[in-house]
Amino acid sequence: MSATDLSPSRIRWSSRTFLLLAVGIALLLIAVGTRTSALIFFGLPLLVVPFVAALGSPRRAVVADLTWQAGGAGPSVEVSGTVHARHGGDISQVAITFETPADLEEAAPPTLRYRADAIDFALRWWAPHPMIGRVPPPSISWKDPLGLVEREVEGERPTLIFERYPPELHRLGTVRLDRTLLLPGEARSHRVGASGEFFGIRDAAPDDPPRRINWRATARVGRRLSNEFELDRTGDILLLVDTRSVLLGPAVDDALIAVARAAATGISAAFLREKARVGFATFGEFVDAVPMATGRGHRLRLQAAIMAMRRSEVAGPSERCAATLNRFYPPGITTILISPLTGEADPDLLVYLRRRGYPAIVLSPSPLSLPVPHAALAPEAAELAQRLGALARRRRIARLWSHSPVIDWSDFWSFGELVRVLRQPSRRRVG
Amino acid sequence: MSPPSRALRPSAGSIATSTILALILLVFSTTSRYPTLLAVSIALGGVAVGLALRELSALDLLRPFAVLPIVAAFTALATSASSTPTTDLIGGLGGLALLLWMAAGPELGPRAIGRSLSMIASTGLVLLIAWTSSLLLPRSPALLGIGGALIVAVVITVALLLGRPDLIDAETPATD
Repeated sequence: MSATDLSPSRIRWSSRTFLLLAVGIALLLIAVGTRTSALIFFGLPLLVVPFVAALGSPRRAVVADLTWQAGGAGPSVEVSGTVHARHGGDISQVAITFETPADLEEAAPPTLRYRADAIDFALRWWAPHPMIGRVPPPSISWKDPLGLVEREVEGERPTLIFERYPPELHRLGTVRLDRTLLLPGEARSHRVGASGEFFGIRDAAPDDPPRRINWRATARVGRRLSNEFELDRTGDILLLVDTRSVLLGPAVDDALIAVARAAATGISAAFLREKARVGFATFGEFVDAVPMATGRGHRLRLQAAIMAMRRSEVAGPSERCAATLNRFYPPGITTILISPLTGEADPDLLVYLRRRGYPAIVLSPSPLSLPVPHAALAPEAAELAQRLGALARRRRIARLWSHSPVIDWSDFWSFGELVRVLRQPSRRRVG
Repeated sequence: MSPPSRALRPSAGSIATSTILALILLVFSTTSRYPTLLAVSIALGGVAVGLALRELSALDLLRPFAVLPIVAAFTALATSASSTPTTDLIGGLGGLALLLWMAAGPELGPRAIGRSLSMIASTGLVLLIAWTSSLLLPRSPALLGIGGALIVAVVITVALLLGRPDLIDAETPATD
């Protein structure tokens, strides 16, 4: 870092400074108006102290790097980390301001422990339902002891992602999945390259090396296809998320998407750990699909797609979803549909999926389990509405069982029923 | 499942600094022309309301304004007191005690009081110079006005200068 980079950032006056200056000036005016000299002496420290604080700020830039990680289990999100001073002023004058991510609630105030050249911190939040969230980097700044003046502290500020899943997720990887053929042109072959046994063909990713491209299949199909090699793959699975709006308001929409995001990430990660091929698609107005693949790179690809998932205001026709899936995934693949099942077209979607060869297991996060306040209703009326909603939902799910197995996911911290259904291949296919 | 609840209670530092502030206000109330009971009520009431605004978690929006009841109480007492060097000195000490009380705020952390002592001492030095100077000057309302205007002008100038650190700290450190 050059000498010019070490110049301190600009002084930022806090609102408390302006309050003190305003009070001090008001006292001066009152003192002059009422001819009371004691008020001048009372106001003088309030006027002087901000500038004493500014003159005491570091003459060189303070640089401190942040390292942090997320832990905890179940609904508890525990974040711990350290702010290390790289060089510059006194770390004991550095203040850290944390922002609680949306959807999380603060379980305990942040704890800070100052050491000679570092600050250790610990945060405890509470997640009302499974979710994946991004924790914004905290604001780290030099502050005077009275909080009047601050200067921004430079340094590395990595973003932290936390993931909260039901504990049964770890049992999902033991489920035996069906193997399917990927695309026309796929064939058993001798070993190619040194990376393992030929397994299948998939759409080529932009970063695939030329030797991994299956040129014959590419010529036949008309688009670039790559070979896949794995030794111990267990099967294939498709995660399909229904992102159509549930018409219960944006708050419920966002919460359901957050739950679906966590479920999709957790389920995909569990199967990818077992070397299964995982495909991911969302269906709102149109289908956005990530072709099946496996490996670490695919996990990142899936994570990006899942994080980019948003609620669609326009609902596309159910047949479009089923027809589009045929372009990306082979029929017969084990399919998990994550849908709140609040739309009139849900039975149609299941029927069309089944006809196209995707008998789905429906994992249905219940909107009734979300902590949405009924602001306009009295407590008794809200409870009655909740019970009526539960009855209507039970009836709807019972009707859908004739098309597919449906798991009413009302306890968001349990995947037990999903694991049970997935472990019985006969139940996977028949509703 | 619900998140654990938490409660805010005044820290030892907050109680100690509130006591110091209340004592100074009580001493100042003896110079007031108000009846003793009223003067003491104003002094203690100002500190109590300020403390309540600062410490109650339900009043987050009002917390920054917790100094105002104390300032109002002091102003009410000061305007009814005669101006003497003693009341000036107590007024200055009241200002310093208010800064110490602010340092004990829950949002500043437990070590803020100790770290703020040097700042408050520097401010106290400025105050001491001002007070000793006032002993040598004739006590006139015109001089008060001129002094007040000068302070305001200096404050604005310093604020403008400190807002542009490049104007103050243009020299490159020789050690880099």
